[in-house]
Amino acid sequence: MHKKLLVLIIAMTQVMVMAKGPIMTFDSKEIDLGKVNPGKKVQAIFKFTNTGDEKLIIKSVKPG
Amino acid sequence: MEKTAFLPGESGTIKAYFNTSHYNGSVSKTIQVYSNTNGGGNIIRLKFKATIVTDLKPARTSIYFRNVIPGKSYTERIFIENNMHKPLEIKGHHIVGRVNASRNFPLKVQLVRSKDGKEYVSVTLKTLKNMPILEKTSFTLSLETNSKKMPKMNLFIIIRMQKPILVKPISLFMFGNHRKVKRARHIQLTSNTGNPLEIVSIKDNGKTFVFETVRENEKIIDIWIGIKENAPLGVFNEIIRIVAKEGDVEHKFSIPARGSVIQ
Repeated sequence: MHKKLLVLIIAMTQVMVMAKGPIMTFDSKEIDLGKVNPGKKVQAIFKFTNTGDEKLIIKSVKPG
Repeated sequence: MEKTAFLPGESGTIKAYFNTSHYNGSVSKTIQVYSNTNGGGNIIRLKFKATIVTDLKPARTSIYFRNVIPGKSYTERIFIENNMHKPLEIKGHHIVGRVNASRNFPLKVQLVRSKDGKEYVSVTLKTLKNMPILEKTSFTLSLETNSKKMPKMNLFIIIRMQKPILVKPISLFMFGNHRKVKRARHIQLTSNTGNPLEIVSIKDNGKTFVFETVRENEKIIDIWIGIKENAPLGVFNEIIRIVAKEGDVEHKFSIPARGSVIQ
């Protein structure tokens, strides 16, 4: 029984390793904008690349 | 974000905006990106931070005047970090919100420059002698400055008054056989202000209690309370009303007294 389960787990991990799927790789996940004057709208730009092997779909971007 | 789908090898950007108006100092924001990576449930957290440099940054934004006694004056000063490249000027000030505050708590605002050029806002509170005693009050003091970016600088003022007369205890329980005891309980009045204390009147329903006033010193008075010999039998639930004078001001106190008269 245990052997069967182990084989199943190994098989599953192999499937996952083979198919990378979409991967979102950011140049930087943290941006420091430095000193900013008050009363202004400031902008942070995060660059990324899909380094996976499937189409990347961004569902939503939320503050939080 | 305009584009939401990216082929392998394709790049894109996520732009995040924020308005610095209501921030001061170091601010950091996080963003959560939900995508189909790693089976769809993946959330990637992004972070960006900024240091907002204001023209004027007070070392603290509130002033707390503690144990304030009517008729006395108190001064507090706050260091102002000036990033304007010119000397700070305070053009005027006004109290926001409370209408009565400006009448009861006249404030004098001054700019103080130390020898090494540091700038402080000095706020002097001069309370009126006959002002109503509010235990705690707070309001916003708005200062007009010579900064273009920050023409108004707000300070939060908290005033906690000291009770002019301390009364102990605030209620009496007189269960037991006190009928012939002249000094069963006592109420002590203490002047907190340093002004001499006087008892103007002590009143009850006239049937239950006998009072005896003993002056400890100029600031402390004891009121001894006993039960009248001919007080009606049974349970009583009375209020002893005391009018005391501290300096020129009269203060009223109501002390509930409960107990029983036993034969």
